Amino acid sequence: MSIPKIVAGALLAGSLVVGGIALAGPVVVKSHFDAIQLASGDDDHDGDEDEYGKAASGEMLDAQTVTRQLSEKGFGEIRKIEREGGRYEVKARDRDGRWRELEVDGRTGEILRNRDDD
Amino acid sequence: MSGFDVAAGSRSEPKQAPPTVKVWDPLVRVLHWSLATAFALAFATGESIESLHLLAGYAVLVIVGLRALWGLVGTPHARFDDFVPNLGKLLAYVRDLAAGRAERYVGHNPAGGAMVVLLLAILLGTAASGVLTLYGGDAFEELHEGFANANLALVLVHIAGVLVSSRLHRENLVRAMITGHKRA
Repeated sequence: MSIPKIVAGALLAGSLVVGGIALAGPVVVKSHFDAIQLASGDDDHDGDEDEYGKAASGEMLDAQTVTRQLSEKGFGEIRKIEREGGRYEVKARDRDGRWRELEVDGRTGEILRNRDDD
Repeated sequence: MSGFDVAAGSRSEPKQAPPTVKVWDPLVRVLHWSLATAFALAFATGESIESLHLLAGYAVLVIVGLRALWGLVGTPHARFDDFVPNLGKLLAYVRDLAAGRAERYVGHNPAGGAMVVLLLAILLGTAASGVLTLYGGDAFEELHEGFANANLALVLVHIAGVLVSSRLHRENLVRAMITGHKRA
């Protein structure tokens, strides 16, 4: 077995492993797409401002609620919202149009961390 | 017509286009340009359009896998055995290149071959770190951006290498990657 063949084999094996990991799919990938849809289309026109729903599982706020809370705080273009344990990791633009990476408490909606993401 | 050609070209070297040889098979060319497109798309959409970015990233992953497979079972010049150099060959070639007397290769020259492997490896690393960001974690995002920037730098070096090599041997290597043909 020549070294070039081993190199090719390693690249092939690597791409299969990474593809497998991608296909095995973290749960957040799905919730991530849901979040994009939720963030882009506000189809909730009932005008009920207090309807901060709880996620089905435990006390976590759902992604839609967190998205809405953030836009009320002036964040826009929320393009990623991923659940990580009891927190949400969010990418959004602030009022000045800068990309921020936020960590939001999944229960209270409080912004725990807000850092530059450029 | 053919009789005329035979008579005209009998002794003096023919004025017609020099003979060409088929070097890059269709799959090599399609994978090359689709990989370039997918990387450009992924790079351009990295900070904005998430779904398109994911699609482009997965395309990169699939293309790298196919190219590696083709490197094992493909046509002669597509195989890694044809162009992946050992360190001695690579250094010798780079030395010759610096002195402006690098040998011409019909397939990839040693530096080009090393670049193919490096690009594929870094692209795989970029895709892998990208997939890992889906599982969360700042560290993976930093890593992913690092890989992506290294990738861009490599692409620029790759393009520079193609231009230098084309100039040195007075041939159009970009066209060769489109048509598959090179001067014999």
